[in-house]
Amino acid sequence: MKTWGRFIAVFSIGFILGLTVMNVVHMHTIDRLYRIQNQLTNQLLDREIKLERLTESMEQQKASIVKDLVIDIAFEGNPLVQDEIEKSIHFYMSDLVGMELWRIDGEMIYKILDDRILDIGDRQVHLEIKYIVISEKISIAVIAKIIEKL
Amino acid sequence: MLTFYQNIIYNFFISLGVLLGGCLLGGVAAALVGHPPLKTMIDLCERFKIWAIVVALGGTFPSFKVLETGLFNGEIRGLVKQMIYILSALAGAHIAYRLIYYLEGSGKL
Repeated sequence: MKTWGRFIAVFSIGFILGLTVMNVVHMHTIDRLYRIQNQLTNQLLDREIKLERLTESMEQQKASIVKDLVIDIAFEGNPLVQDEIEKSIHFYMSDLVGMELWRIDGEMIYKILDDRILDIGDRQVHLEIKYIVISEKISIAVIAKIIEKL
Repeated sequence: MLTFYQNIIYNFFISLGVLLGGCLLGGVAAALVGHPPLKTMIDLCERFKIWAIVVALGGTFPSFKVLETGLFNGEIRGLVKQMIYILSALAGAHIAYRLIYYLEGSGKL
């Protein structure tokens, strides 16, 4: 019984000390991440306010403008790879947001994305368009598949 | 019964340990609940500094009692001893505070 008690005490003290050392080693990184998170949250709030004001002024001018781009990806794999694919598609399509609706060429969007092969890390991903909805909120649905290397 | 010098060393290390331990484990708690650990440690350090001295002296009342008798009954020896104890505890707490402060990277050694 005494041995067990000693074992539990040594284990607990070791655990707490280990936790403390780990915390001391990584605390600068954790603090930096919290700081970046706060900065990004503030930036996001700032952008949202600017966007709201811009939308209000656009509505006063009665012009139909693309306000948002929604990408729906059907992908069976790691969610982080899916995020990378979404980022790449956003990169190609980012110019659409802010354009007047009558200037949007749906066929061009189709030709840009359909059958495109994206390089994500050291893997290649093939895209296939499912549908495109063009309105003030453009919706693009794609099927993404990783190309298996032989 | 502890001698005068032993008491000084005890007070110094107790206040150092209270502050260092409190801040380091407070940092662990902050990381567990999703707060920035380094910032929490510095905040805790500033808040605990006085309490570390109080803990090292073994509560506030005996010290004040000695100070009172020293001042009003002419026990200058006891008064000076108590002042030295407080100073040693203060030094321990301050060194712990500086250590945490340097750990944060705000100052240079």
